[in-house]
Amino acid sequence: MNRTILHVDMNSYFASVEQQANPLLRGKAIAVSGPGALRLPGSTPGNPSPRSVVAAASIEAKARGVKTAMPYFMAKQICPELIFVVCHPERYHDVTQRFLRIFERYSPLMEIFSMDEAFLDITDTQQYFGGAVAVAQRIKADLRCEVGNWVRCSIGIASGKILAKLASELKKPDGLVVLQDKDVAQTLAKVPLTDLCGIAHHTAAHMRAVGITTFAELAAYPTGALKKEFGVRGVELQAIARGQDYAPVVPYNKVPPRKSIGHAYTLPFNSTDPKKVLGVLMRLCEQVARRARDDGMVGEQVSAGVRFGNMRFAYNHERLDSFTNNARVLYRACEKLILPFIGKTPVRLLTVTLHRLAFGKQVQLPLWVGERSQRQLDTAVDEVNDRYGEFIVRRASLHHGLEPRAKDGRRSPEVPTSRDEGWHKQSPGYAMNKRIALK
Amino acid sequence: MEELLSEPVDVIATFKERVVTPRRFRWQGRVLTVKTLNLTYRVKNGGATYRYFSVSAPGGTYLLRFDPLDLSWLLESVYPEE
Ligand SMILES: [Mg+2]
Repeated sequence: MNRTILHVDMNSYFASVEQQANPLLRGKAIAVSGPGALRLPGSTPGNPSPRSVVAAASIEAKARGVKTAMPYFMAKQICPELIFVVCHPERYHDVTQRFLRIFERYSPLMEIFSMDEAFLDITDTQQYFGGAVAVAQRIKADLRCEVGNWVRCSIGIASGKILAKLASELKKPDGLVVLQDKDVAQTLAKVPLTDLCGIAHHTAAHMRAVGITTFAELAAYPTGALKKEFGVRGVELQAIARGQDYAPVVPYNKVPPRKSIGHAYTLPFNSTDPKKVLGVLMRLCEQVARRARDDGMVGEQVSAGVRFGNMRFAYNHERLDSFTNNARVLYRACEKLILPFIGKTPVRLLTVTLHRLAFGKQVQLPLWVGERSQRQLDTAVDEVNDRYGEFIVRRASLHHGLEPRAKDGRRSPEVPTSRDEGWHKQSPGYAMNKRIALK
Repeated sequence: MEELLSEPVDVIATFKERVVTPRRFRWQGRVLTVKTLNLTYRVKNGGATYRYFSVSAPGGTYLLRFDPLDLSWLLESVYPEE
């Protein structure tokens, strides 16, 4: 049966939310960046350091050539009137919750694709709202009315997810594009391979190397040879090039449990000081452990990585004696793993990841009294922090040398780019991220 | 540029059908009338859920925070008009 899939993509999301909150920024070229940008060397009040990057640009800034992840100094060169705006992650988080709730009115089959994108399978529900286009128009109207008229979205409608996503990208901002099955070949003929979600630049280069430069060539390529070159993914991409886009919409409450939990942190200054680096490592371990406990997970393997100032990356992992979600256990393992990397080359970024996850309930209670009381302590501390704010109760070792908490106990800002200073979550699938999952 | 303040302020607000809306607030000895409500959002902080209101009023854009637990209002920040 022919499906009807909607892809909704909020336009220039973070920047649009900032413009919605502040009409003085509307119609202007703005760049959103982390608060860390104002603390880096070379920054002046209101002007971020040259080292910082544009985490999000407004539609007006994009029209001037400003791109996401562009260094700020470069953006300012091509667009001198660019206004710098400090990000408010808690704003975007709440607005995301609100528009996801709007989408869900039109189908229970909603897949959260990222902080500002979702798929809706409206095959069976569109009839109640007057058809697919009517659903799209109602979503746009609901957004205007309930979130604000400056927060707009592009909607693509097609018979599959990837094609719907392609359709939503064809008209920005505020687009509504229906891609009929009969028009798929014609539309694909007009766009480069990299416009399709799933074909990154390195894949496109690999395809060029075997003589595939268009979707028509991809569709016609011998399937067996394609599988040898690109694996199953190549065959899937070929099917889409033939207009056969069958991947199901996976509702957010049916997402399989994640395979790992990771956090990363970019230091405000590159450092060779073990005390500083290990302080950050401790906090990363706390965050990973806390997230594991929030999700009721334990892990059996831990990895720690270091990115140096020269962008080289070093990484180590270790199998633990038993399943854990205790920060101290993680820290002891991670310290051993990264100590060999610290001291000579300045460290820029640290990562900690817990792997081989299992549900805590399925794992045996610790035999030793010490370990058991550690677990009770974690539970008690989590309860206090749930109630009064993250890191209200924390290890004394976290008291010194680390960045102060945001004013009035706001969460540490999580900057939506890995190049800026700040705490980053590593899991690429936002849908698996509890904080973004619909509550 | 946004100036962070976190100052307690007096607010006149309406409560209607479980929706709270700030109408006027006193800041620096002046009473400012809210012209438009631009964006509202909630932020969970421990057991409390703050309500944020980004409003336009004479002089610029103001960010007000309401804490339903102790009924306090805070002027979080102001973005002045040029
Ligand atoms: Mg978007």
